[in-house]
Amino acid sequence: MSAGHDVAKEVKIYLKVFAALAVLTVVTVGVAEIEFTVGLAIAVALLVASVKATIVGLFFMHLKAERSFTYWTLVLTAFFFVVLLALPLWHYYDGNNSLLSSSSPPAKATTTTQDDSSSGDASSEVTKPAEDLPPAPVNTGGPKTATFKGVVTLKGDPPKMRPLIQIKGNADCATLHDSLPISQQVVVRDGGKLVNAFVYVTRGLEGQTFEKATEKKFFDQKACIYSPHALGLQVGQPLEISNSDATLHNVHMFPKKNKEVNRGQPKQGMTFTQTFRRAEAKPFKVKCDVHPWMNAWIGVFDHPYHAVTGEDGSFELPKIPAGTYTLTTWHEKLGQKNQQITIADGETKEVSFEYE
Amino acid sequence: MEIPYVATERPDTGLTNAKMGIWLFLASEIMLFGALFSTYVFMRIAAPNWEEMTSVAQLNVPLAMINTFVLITSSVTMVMAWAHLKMNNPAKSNVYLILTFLCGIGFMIIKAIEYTGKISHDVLPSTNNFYGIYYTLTGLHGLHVVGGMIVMAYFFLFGKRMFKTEPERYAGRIEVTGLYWHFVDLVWIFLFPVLYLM
Repeated sequence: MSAGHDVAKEVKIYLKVFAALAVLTVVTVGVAEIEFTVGLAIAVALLVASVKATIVGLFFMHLKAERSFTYWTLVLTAFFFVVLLALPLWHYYDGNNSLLSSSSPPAKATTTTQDDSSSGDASSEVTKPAEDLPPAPVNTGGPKTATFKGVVTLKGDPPKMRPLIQIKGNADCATLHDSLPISQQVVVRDGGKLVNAFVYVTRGLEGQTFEKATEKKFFDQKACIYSPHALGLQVGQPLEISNSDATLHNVHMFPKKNKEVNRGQPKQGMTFTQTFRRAEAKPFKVKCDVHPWMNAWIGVFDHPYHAVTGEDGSFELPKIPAGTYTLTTWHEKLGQKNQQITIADGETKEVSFEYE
Repeated sequence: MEIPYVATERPDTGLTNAKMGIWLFLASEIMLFGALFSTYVFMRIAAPNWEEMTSVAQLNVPLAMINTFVLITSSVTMVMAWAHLKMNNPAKSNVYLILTFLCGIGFMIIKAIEYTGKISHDVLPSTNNFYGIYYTLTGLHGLHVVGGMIVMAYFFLFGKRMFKTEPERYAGRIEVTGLYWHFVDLVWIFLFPVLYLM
């Protein structure tokens, strides 16, 4: 310390600082007892800690009367310290958290009227063109009065699906089932009707824009199974993901164009809402890292003409303008099929897809 | 070799070389602990099951709170040790230095009780990511406490002789020791809420 400093006076201040630190410590612990939300609790705890650190620095470390060399050393250090702490946060918010990602979704809302075609449990979807498709027809849009409808079938004997025997190994999940659930990889109903196949337009909508889909869709983890098993979304459409089980689940999604999602839900009743910014070429897989048998498929499309076949293998893509389109069906096990179809205003066209 | 500016301030920095040295060292310490805090933040926000990991065992909040009091008390005794040198009272200063040292012992004993409790329940750094970072942060902090205690022990046993011949230089040494010690206290001020209360 520099000469002429009145140390005796300082001593009194030290004792006051000590009292303040003691009080703040009690405050920190007391505040932790209050049921704040996690974010608020962390903010308060860090705020109190910062106040304590500041007075330790100012008084005990004599920073209130230091040389500029010391200040500059600390300012520089503080800068790099902040960078260090910001790195993981930056990664996090740049990810799927949509805090920074709310800007400009590719499908902008326009004055075009377009309803989401979610009839029954069919959902709609959109995709990027795949390489092996026929050349793209150019449709100019128009009144949305036509409808594609049809059935997806599987010819011959369906592969036998195994029971999900791994569930037995997990007490939390096993007690939720009287008998072992069967794998949902290939679900075929009476006479070859294929359930959970995606059907969507891959070509023919180029250059058109569609109304934003605001209707919320739901994805649940119940009895250690994902429900639904296949789900289509439009870009920007909210998906509410919930955990109905009293055990930890995580939803780990592997999109190609969007950021990977990996969120844990340790408690029953937890929910979060996820949106996707970009359309995907194909549906992507969702799995639970805790329970390896849990998986599902989600498609993200930049238009509303997508559906998932229901229990009777049927799908419907309503309110589409007249034109020539490439329709695609995609199934997690059986792969992809395309066909080109022309439809006129007001027409309802039957389309069927058959896997072998 | 004679080190210049150990008792008087260097004109261009306005600091003794000892003080400049300790501040640069503390800057590097901030980055060391900063990297680990950053690791903590990263693991926490990326973990799907953070709450599940922290609840494997309950950290002992009362013990950690007592330790917080022990450390802030030691910071006061440390600054008193320096103040009494400035007031030309080396005997009292030495008593405060010893008190600070004893606080350090107290802190480490409580820490040992805490660690023993965890280890006896098989809660180890390998248990999960939370306990990995818990042991790393508190362990590194504990090493800093021990380091500070060694320096203090040297001063109150042998180093204090210097006050008779070079009082300013000795006061500078105690001040620099104090700066380090307050930093160790400061790290704990953050560790306590981050590990125990959040």
